Amino acid sequence: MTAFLIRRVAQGIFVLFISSILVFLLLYLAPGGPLSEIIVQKRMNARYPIRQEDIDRLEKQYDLDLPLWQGYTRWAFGWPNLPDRAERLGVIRGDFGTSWRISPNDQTMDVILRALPNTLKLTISSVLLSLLVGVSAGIYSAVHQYSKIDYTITAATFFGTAMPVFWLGTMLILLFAFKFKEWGLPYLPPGSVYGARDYIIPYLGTITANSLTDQFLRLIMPTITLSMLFMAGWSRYTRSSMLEVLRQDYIRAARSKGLSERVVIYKHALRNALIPLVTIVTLQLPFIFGGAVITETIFNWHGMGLVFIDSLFQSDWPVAMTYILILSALTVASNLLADVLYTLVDPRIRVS
Amino acid sequence: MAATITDAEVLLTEKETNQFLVIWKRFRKHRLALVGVAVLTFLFLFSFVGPSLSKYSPETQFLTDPYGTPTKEFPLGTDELGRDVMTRLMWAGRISLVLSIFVTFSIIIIGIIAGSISGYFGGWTDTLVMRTVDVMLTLPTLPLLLILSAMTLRGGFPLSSPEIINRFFAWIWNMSSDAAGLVMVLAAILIFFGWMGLARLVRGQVLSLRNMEFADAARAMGSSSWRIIFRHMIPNSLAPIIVAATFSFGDVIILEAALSFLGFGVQPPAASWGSLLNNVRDYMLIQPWRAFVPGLAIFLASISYNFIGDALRDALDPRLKL
Repeated sequence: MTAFLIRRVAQGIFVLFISSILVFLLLYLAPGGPLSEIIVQKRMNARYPIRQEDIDRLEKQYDLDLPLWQGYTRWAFGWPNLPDRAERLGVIRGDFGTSWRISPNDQTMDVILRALPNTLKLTISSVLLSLLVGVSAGIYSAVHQYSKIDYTITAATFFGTAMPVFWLGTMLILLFAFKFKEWGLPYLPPGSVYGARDYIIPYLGTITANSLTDQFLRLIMPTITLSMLFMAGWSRYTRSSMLEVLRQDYIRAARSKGLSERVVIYKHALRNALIPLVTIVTLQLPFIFGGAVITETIFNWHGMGLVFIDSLFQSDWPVAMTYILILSALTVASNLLADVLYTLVDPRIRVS
Repeated sequence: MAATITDAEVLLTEKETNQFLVIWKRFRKHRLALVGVAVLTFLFLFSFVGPSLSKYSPETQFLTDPYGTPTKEFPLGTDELGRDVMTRLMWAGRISLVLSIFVTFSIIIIGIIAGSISGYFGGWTDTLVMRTVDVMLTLPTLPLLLILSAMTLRGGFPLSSPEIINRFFAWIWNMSSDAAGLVMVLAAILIFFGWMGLARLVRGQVLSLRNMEFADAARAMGSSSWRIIFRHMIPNSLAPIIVAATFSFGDVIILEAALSFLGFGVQPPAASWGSLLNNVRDYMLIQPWRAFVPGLAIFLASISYNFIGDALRDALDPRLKL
């Protein structure tokens, strides 16, 4: 086990290294970039023209004038330290650089972590909803195999997996935020984490901005949107895993002992059927974080994904790179966790 | 059970059964897949025959009549620049559908080559290919896709596809070859991040086929490794590849639409279904149908591919055969 863990951690560090090189090259090799607007302004001969010195100064401040490899080693390892520039510690010593545009001169890690609570709120509620709905639908489907409800649930999972997230979100906003408001029904606020001012919802009364109710109402639609895909996937998974377990001999043994159907299903079958689901859920956690990019954009939800999209539109590369590194680290960690959990919950499996 | 017995009877009584007929008979049982075939046929006709039936070109502007509501002249109204939404939807469909086909076929070719070489030769080739697959699967796909597409927006992707390919797609999509080149870059990005699953699948197939008797027989008769791979390994693993490819069509359509929706995919004046949905975001409240229809098209295409893939899996699964 120890050797296995060491190997996997080494592999994980390698993956992080590769993705740091990849993202650095992608961003720095392409023309354009954070100074392109200023350079255009200089050409435009404005009343207060931008001088070449200013451009040079900024290039120096952002390390854009260095050769590519030096830029990378300074960002990643804080080496070499050049005499006339700010000292860099490098990513390996926890210095992810400072933001250029979104929140100038702040540490990128802080810029992203400030948005973390909102992303966590969204992802955690989505995971809970997906688990609750997905697993219970899967169990019901398996226990009542080939019943009408089973067919309905199976069809619904197809719809869930094929549904484009961005379309679902847009349609939810159109219907529940705007059409419901038009029709005088209790509507849901269309976006943002919390409101700026109080608003009145029919039958519910006045909702105070940033109150718990306000935050809850605003969480509903993004959560449903983000959960749809995982709900469907996990329900299918629970169904097939449960069906397999229900065919086992020990289930027949439990039934022939005269145990009630309830005990057989919830105590004997379900606990074994959920073992593979644990791994699947762990493996998909990074996808939920990454997928939140789309949901956060639709609902103007100020989470990490939205910060990342902003950083791309504004050429704030240090922020974009930090986000990619965080997601890579999360993927590596969840892969490792899934492997470990797999051996913990199912002693029949040995790591090799 | 009765159905299986008739299947068996068919197989036993007829002297020579066409394999495609058997597959089609099994496929037909999946009602939703038949609906899927019909829907996809409609979508393809809509995107390929539709434009020649339409009176307008996708760029014709009726400047006096922007934000038009659906009328007889404009079945889906006109957009903010006074262009016929229906016509644009047809052309957008061409981009979405053709792009998904092109990307999927490229993924299949790369996946088959990488997977079969890795599985058949084993050793360090296998290690190299499979570790690459592992690393690429660990990279956060969507954010990296966004960065890559953001690069092409700045007009500076260091690679470009061959001019002849650009010309070909420019001809299909009725756009300039530079614009087609930009879409091809998007395709290249999707291919680059899409081949790993198929490579794994093919490798698994080849690993199990490699040591079967017929492979030994071929080797004993002096066939070269390449001949065995292309004449024996790949044809014998086609069934799961076809199924995976069918699902991939739907996945690619959704992924492309997601990128375009976020503003990093197909760029104006060209449009795919995803970018139509992106463009309408500011006008969603006055023209809600313009947001509904492209999304519906994406959803229908994707779910049809899913149903067909599901039916093909049942129809092609050799374990169900006699």
